Amino acid sequence: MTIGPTTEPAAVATGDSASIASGTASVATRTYRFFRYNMKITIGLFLVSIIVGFGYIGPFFVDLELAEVGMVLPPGQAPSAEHWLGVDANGRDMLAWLIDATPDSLKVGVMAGALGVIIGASVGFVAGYYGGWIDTVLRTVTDIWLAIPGLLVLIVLASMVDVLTLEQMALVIALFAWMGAARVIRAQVLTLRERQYVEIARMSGENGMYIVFLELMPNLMPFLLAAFVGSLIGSILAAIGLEFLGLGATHISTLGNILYWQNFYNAVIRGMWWWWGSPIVIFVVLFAGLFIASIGLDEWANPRLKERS
Amino acid sequence: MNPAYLVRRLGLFVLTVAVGVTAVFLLTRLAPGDPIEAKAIALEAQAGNSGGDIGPIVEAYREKFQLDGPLHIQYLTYLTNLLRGDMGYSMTNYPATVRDKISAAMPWSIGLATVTTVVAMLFGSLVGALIAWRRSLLVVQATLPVLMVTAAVPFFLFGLVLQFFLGVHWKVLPTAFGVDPGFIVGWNVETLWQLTKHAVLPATSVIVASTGLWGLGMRAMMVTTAGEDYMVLADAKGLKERRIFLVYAVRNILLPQTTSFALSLASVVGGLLLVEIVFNYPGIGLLLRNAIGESDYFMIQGVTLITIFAVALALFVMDLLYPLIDPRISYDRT
Repeated sequence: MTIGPTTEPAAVATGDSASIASGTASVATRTYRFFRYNMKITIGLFLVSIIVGFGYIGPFFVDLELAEVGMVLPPGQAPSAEHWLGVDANGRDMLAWLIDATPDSLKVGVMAGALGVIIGASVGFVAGYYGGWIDTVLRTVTDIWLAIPGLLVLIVLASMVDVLTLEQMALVIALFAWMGAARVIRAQVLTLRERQYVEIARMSGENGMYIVFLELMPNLMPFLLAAFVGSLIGSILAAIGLEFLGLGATHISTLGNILYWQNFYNAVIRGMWWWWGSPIVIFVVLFAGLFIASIGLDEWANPRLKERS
Repeated sequence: MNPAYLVRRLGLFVLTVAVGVTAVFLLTRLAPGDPIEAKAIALEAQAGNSGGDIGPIVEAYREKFQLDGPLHIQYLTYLTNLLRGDMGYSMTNYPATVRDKISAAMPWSIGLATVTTVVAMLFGSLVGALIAWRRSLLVVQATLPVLMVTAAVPFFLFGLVLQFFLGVHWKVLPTAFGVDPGFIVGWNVETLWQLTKHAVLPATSVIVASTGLWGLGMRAMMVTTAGEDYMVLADAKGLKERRIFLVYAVRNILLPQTTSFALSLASVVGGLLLVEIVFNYPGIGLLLRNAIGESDYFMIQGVTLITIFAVALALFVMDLLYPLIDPRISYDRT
């Protein structure tokens, strides 16, 4: 293992050459080696941090009031030295609007993603650890959930209420963001629970919860992280889908909201490329980053996926 | 085919539909806010009145749409109506029924979904397999980062980009609708041309994005397959390169590929609906968007139900077809 002092060596066979040498190295060196060896995670995190930085450091440089309707006249300006990303049809400075919207979009994703992993991991743990009929029931529930198009159910829900807060939105999205985690964790627990150290813990009379959280959990960290990123991606996608349809947290600026308004005002047909183009750039960087990081995390969790060179 | 398996799989199908149907029922009935009342107030405001007594109107609507009994009675009515294929009336386009509207829109969506899935699957799998094949061209191998980006970005964002460049900027393709406005669809060449022309952009945006997904899945599997003993043996026997690639490698990966596709089908469908909205393509996605805009709850509910049903059915049929793709699977022993 190359990360975290809490994880037992050789508990999960990550199989990287760096891990053998890492026993005595300092935390800094080990961290460096980890990122050096897992290039995909590094690249992914780098791309994601660009967007995070944009949303959280941006407000120190750009006046967010410019993001309000009618702040910049005339409306509909193309990008210029003064307004780097142009102005929308209602006099909102695009740069300020995007900076204002990014953190909230990320927040929904992180909240829903985390919640999704917690639900999914719990389901997966219980199913894999206890097995038997509990496993059958939970697996069937997971399969059913996977077959139901979450976006549509979310649409039904969101269209019944006027407006959702960010937290409510994260909560409902999480209801459709846990299945991936459940499947992965169940499969891992199935193999882990037969290991000898788990057997020993069981024989020494530890209870189920102790075994699950202190013996199994640390070994599942890579899988949990990979599942978290997966569910984060799904959550942000669901949020954008809802917002693009004009549902969800309509009262605050989010990236999906910007897309809704550009569609509402036909920005594409009117040739206002800066209006839809800039949110797309943010999405491409963000999703590419998350996606590459998730592939990297998958490979870290399961080195068999890594190319043999 | 093993009847026990068939029954079990059929059970899962029925269960999925039942869960979806019940979830939609509960969501629409238990959510705060009263759509009927909201609708009546909106109608009143539209007519230029406000503050009048809407009570009788609300009651009349409730009765009309059978929303006035206790919950379990409502549920039974809802179920029996659904079994008869009756999903109620469109609230904004009364007396058009939800079923009529959906039947008119469905062929567009199914057409788009089928064509894009088949093309993306064939093309994506091929690209993915070639990227992992160590003897393929370096140019092909270098497209991996491109695949990662296309796989990561939602379909409809590609749609916006394509719409702008090909439809607005260079004006080569129409940006909206299923056929030109005013065109009368018939069984002729002109119709075919119209349909193709209008479907190119929406289809391409889906294909580009899902090619990435198929490609990455295929590549990951190829990488692990390449080290298998039977691959080495095939090589040692001096078999033709093409045969090793297609019959030994690709064929073995197609089943897991199909499985992972089945797992993501539900979310792919969600993405398709959004693409239709970007291109004003007359499928059920557009129907849904309009229904949301007009707060036509029965229509929203209907589109959701039919989509849940369609996805569940597709997964069911796919499971039954597995043995055809892969002889390793046999349902005779379980």
